[in-house]
Amino acid sequence: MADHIVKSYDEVLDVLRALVTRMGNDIVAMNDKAITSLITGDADAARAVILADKNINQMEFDVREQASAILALRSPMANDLRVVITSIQIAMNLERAGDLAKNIAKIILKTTLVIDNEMRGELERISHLAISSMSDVMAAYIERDVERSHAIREADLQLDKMHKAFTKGLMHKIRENEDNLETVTQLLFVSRHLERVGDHAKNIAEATIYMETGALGAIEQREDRETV
Amino acid sequence: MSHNKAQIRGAASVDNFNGIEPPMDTVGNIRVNNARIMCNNVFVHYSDKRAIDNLSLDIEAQKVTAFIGPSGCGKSTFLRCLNRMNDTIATCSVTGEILLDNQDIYAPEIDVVPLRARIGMVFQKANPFPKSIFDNVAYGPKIHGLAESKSHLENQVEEALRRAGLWEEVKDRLDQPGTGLSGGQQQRLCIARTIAVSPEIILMDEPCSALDPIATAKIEELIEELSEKYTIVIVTHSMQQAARVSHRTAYFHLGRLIEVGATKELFTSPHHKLTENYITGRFG
Amino acid sequence: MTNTPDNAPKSAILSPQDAEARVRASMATRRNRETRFRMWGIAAIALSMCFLVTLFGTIMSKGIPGFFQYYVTLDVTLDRERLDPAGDLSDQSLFDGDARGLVRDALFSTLQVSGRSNRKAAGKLISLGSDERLRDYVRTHPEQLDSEQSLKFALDDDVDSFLRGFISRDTPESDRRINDKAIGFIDQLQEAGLISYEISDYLFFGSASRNAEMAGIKGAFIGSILTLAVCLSLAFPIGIASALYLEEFAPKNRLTEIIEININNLAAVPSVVFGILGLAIFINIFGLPRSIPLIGGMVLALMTLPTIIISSRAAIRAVPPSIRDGALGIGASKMQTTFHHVLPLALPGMLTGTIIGMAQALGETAPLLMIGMVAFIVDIPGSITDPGTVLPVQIFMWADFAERMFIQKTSSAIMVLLAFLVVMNSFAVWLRKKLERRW
Repeated sequence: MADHIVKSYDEVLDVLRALVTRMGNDIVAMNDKAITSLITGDADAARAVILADKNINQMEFDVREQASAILALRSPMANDLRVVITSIQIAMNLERAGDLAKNIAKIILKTTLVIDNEMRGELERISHLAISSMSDVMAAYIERDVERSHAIREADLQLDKMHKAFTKGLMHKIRENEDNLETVTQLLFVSRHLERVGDHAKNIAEATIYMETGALGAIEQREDRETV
Repeated sequence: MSHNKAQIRGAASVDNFNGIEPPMDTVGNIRVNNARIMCNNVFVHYSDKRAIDNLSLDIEAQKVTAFIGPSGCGKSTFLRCLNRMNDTIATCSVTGEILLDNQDIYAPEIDVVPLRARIGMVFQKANPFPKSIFDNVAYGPKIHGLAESKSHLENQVEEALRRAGLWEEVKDRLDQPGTGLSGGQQQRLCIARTIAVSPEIILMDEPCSALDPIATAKIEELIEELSEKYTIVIVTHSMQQAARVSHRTAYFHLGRLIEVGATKELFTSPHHKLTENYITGRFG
Repeated sequence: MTNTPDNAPKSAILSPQDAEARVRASMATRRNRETRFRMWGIAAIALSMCFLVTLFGTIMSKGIPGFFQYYVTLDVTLDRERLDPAGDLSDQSLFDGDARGLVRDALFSTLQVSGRSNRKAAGKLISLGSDERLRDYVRTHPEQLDSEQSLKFALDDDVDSFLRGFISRDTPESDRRINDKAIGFIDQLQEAGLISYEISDYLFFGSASRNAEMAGIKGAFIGSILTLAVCLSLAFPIGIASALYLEEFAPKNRLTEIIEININNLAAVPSVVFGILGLAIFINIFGLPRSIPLIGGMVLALMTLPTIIISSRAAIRAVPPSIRDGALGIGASKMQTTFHHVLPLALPGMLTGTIIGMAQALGETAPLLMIGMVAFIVDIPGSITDPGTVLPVQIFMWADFAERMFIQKTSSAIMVLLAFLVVMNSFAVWLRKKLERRW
């Protein structure tokens, strides 16, 4: 897209997108660290994640402030307007993803978990998918890539399946050995958190598509078409 | 002014127009169901310079249509075609049809004087006559013989001033000169003057460009009220104003109609690149 | 000071500090130049003021005395039978009467002269118009017949010149216009206190005459007014209508251009040419009589038309197009727009142009000479088809005569003409101020 005639307009939009991008990168790192800390039992790492979440909240305020300023001062239209609105939306989703990571990290600080290799393997797979899909949609946002945003659907479906399977597996574990109850309960939470991360990633992908094309709910629509 | 009867030409013309790509069809729906004015293949030339290139567009009844576009894109020229004010310019020639009630207003048998009573015009700089406020508004009804008696005329003047939102401010000084009012009041006086001859359509050529924000807001409110009764076409440089005030917006560029559509759509998700570039300030 | 590195490209635009230094340096030259220019201007104005003062001084020093005249007061017996032999106070009767004799009798009895040569000398003292003066008195005061009245009569212009000091006693009698005897009588009258210096009623109310003391501008004045009236009533409507047509209605083609060029050129044509035109067409071809204000008015109208048309067109062009657009926009026709809106707004300018044109026409001499308004006409023209003359022509004619009094009266007439022009121009200014409307 051509540059705005008024250069500072381009600059403020770039600042906004940079904020969102940085938030996204931080979220990916945070979630990764949270899962690692859970699996390894690293309390320091967990504390670092909790601290990072404060940062994320501040960044969300920054995004909102920058977006409001642009709305008030620049009267953005069309594409620019959608950039501003979606930045608020995405920041909100990222902030929630940050809360989710924080919740995961907090678990370590409260209890000690006994995770066997099977559970660990599955957990790592689920978290890997959730985190990489978040990373993908953020890359799609930076690149303004609509097709790549659509790809989240696959990952999301996959994540749902994995979460269901993991849940089922964890149920078995309880019946096998009642001592596993505490760990399993926590792992159920974690899995659900990760599934939620995937949902947020899907919201971010929708927002990116809306930003680029103006189409609302594009992913859902494609989903509906394909299920028919 | 010379005038040739309509020659329907195809959308693509032969010459390489101004060095950019040949004319394409307008993006968006140029036709509407409830059209008051229908324009088909209108070309406007000033001597041999083309100002409007193959323009077709419907103006919807009792709605506000805005024309936007950079300077020199032809929006004012096209507006002035709608009530044949371009007749006053010797070098201007118009071809194509502009239909009002299925009759081409450029047909040789059409009398331009009653046409201009049906299609009124408000100009960029308020131009009240150097007469009293009363006489300003009464002039139109007088020359067209619209009032049956003196009291009828007074009622017409009062009602026109009320509809223009000016009555309360001037009812005690109707005999004072119209030029003594503030800019915003003068413009509303001009609107009252137009209303007094009972038009169906009101054309406005950048009516607020010389006014401060409060006067502008009052006129925008007035436009909204008037659109319930009248069909309004407004040319404006301010996109924000077009966005606030109109139901339908048409974007002009170098004499061509690039895109037309519902205002909300056009400003949130325009379809044509040129439209998007213009409204986001990417080029003039 | 701004810190620019030495290898930075030098901008052609100076820094504010450098520029300020240079501006200050140039101020001295600029001020000097302006002062010198102002001095030249003041000198030029001073020079023209000198000329102006000299001009007006000369005119007024000669003209003001022209407004006054010497009169002698005599007791006249209004003998009914001698004045009004027919007894009916008709003009014929009064004409047949001997008013002249009565006046002379009064003079002789006052001077107590006898003898033919004495009477002859004394008789020359009084203006030849005295008898008409007496007859006028009888007409207006018939009830005074048969009484004795003290009446003022004008003195002959030579006596007048002597009393003003233009004829000196010291010049030898043979070189003087009045002889010693006459001087003696004059001294006598003066000693008796019968000679008075008063505002001349002849200047304004008398008409052309070969006798300087009786000469007046009334005829020429009325002739001027009639001529101007004809000129105005022809030139104004035609001029305004032409201007409106050319500006508002004429198509922009070759023909209109040619008309415009010709009108502009006509404004520069010497006025005497219009006189020749009038002579050739109005008098020779149409066969209208010469010397009448009607022809004079027509010729002057031709002459003034270009001025009126050009200034009217400028006034029309000054009306902003937004007014026209506003009128057309609510469905006024071209005619209505022009007459309801453009004309009222352009009218002040048009009127100003017209009055200036009229003021010009008032002072025109050459074209009127060509059509013969130079004839010596005593009767005051009663209508535009009576022969007459105009003020500038009258001045022109008087300037030819040698009598001292004519010289003075010429200057007086010039003053009257100038006053007329000033009044007309002031009227133009007042009118324009009154009619000016803001838009």
